[in-house]
Amino acid sequence: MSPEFVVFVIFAIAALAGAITLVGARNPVYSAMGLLLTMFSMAVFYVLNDAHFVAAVQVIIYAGAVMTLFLFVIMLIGVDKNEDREEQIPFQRPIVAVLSGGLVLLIVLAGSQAWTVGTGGGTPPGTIENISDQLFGTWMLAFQATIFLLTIAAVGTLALARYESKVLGPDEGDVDVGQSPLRGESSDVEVDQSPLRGESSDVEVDQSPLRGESSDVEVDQSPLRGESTAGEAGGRGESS
Amino acid sequence: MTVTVAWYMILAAVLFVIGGAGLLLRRNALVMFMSIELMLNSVNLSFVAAGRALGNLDGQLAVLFVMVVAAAEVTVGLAIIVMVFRKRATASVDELSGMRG
Repeated sequence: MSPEFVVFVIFAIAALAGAITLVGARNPVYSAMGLLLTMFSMAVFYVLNDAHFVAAVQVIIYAGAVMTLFLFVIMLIGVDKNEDREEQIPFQRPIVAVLSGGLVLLIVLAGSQAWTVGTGGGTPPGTIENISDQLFGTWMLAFQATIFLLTIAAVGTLALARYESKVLGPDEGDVDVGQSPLRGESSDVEVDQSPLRGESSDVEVDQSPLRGESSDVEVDQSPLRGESTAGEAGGRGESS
Repeated sequence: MTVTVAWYMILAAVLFVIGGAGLLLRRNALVMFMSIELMLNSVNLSFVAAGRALGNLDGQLAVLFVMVVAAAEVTVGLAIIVMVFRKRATASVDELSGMRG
């Protein structure tokens, strides 16, 4: 009974309990807490394996940043307690159980053939110095590729946050799609609408910077020129 | 009783399978995402344990890169979930059948 064995057993139980909580809990906040417990247990395992820097990164990035992001999103979109657990596919739960048990057996069988190989023993400890020697030496190219990956992810997240979809979801998407053909197609509607816009032009000018669409600005400017050409100018602005 | 690398491998396999079962059984997109994170974490554990057994640091470096990719994936995925929620007011993946053929 070495101390490592005691620590391993305690935190293995904690990790498994966290994982089962993650899968089984009805409330997504409890699922997040279960994942948090598993991640802290992982950090303990990393320390047991002399991976000190990875353990610190695990606590800071995963348990700190990623889980905070998850909790923010859970709170943002609301806690959905009454999740529908009726399975659409017949026999899905038995299939999952059989496949899961089979996968565990397969991994253990395959691993029992292979993971006894290796020298073992004299591992360099995963301190910051040793990690950085490898990371900025051998793996420099991969490290710089992660710069592009993170930049693309940040830009993509910003684009998704500002993107007003006309494809996804007919529920509210029809409102946006329904407004735009009225401006471009029939000139009668435009002439009828143009005095109304001329009256309330102040409101639309105030709204246009919030949307950030360039076409809205042109449509808003068009009633200022005249009533008859307003529809055409707006139509060009939409089509171009 | 000493802890060999096989213990870590078995623990990682069990955690991976629990994460995979959560991915298959749950409907909430956020919980499915967290299951994916659990699977990534279990693979990280196997990397670190194998790195100690083989006596080099490559396992830990692989773990660092997996963490970077997972962080990027989480930001984009959560942005997609929030955007879907703004359109559909649900986080259940069964509701999202817009691309059904």
